[in-house]
Amino acid sequence: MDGLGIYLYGVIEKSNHGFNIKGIDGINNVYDITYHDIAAIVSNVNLDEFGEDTLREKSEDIEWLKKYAQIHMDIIKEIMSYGTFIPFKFCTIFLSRDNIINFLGTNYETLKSELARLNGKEEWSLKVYCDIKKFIENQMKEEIKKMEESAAKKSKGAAYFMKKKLESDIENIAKDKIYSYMDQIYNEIIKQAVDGLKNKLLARELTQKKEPMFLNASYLINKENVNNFINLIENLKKEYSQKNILIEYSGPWPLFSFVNLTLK
Amino acid sequence: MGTGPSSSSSLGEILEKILDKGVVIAGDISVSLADVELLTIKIRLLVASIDKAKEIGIDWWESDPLLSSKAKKEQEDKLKEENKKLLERLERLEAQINQ
Repeated sequence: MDGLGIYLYGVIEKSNHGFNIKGIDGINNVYDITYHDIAAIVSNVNLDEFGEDTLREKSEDIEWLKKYAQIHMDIIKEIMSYGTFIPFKFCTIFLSRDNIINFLGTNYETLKSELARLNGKEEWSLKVYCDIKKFIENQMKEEIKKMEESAAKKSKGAAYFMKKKLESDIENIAKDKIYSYMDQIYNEIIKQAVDGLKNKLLARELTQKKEPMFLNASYLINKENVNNFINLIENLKKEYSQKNILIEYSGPWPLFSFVNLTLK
Repeated sequence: MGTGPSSSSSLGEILEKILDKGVVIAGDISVSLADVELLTIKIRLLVASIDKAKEIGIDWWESDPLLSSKAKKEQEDKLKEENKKLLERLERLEAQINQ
């Protein structure tokens, strides 16, 4: 058994599902380790590839992260179609089956009640972007007009500095306006949700969008309410696109944001 | 695959969830992986090596004239074209006045 690790994706309700999924290494199959009516979903890995030292080294490598984050995500997205599923952190690895059974035994009650709480619910993402320049051009015509009028009354040199100052004022007012729209959007949507969460905004390096992000939210939605949730967002999307605000949503995602567990 | 209507799962979205979320337990192997903020900084540094970043699919700066000579050239070409048109128009107007 030397060199064998067990990669733990998460915990699912009930089990004895036959999974037909390849694990993180692309070789070993995904299987379950059952404890009463819950199960850990795992696959075997070679510790040459997924041992502590290798992982420490690999985690510095963006290409490695990109590749394995994608594989990990694909696997858990597939697992979640089998039932309520609690996703664990990327690269959670045990050294034996017994240790995993121990873990399940110690935390059985907690895991079970969390699975019950999350049963029938989906996680959705909402991301909102805005091109500030366009927003100012189209949504703040009055402010710009006032600025130009007051600058016109000044001498050329004074007008230049005044314009600079007013431009930065206008940008600040624009940002305040955009953020108050974000609050409106977030609060409107949460009416259709069980729970909601505002996440850190992502930089352009990660979003790969020209427009900066202004809202990054997750919502927990009852399955039977998902259609209402989507309709609401589609309506908001139309309404806000006229304000140069771009709303995007996606889901269902594994329940990353709403699992609330303290485990031993 | 449980994907929704507009599930454009970008690299950022995946990394954000994978690196910053999910239940943390002390497995037998402990690794401290980079979080998304650290990763952003790393990518920012990597941008210095543009080819490398392009290789992993990050290329938003290509359309930013401040950063891309290609975009800059396109912008210059556009300006030249505009300039040419304006000059032509000016000549036409001057010709009309002189008639």
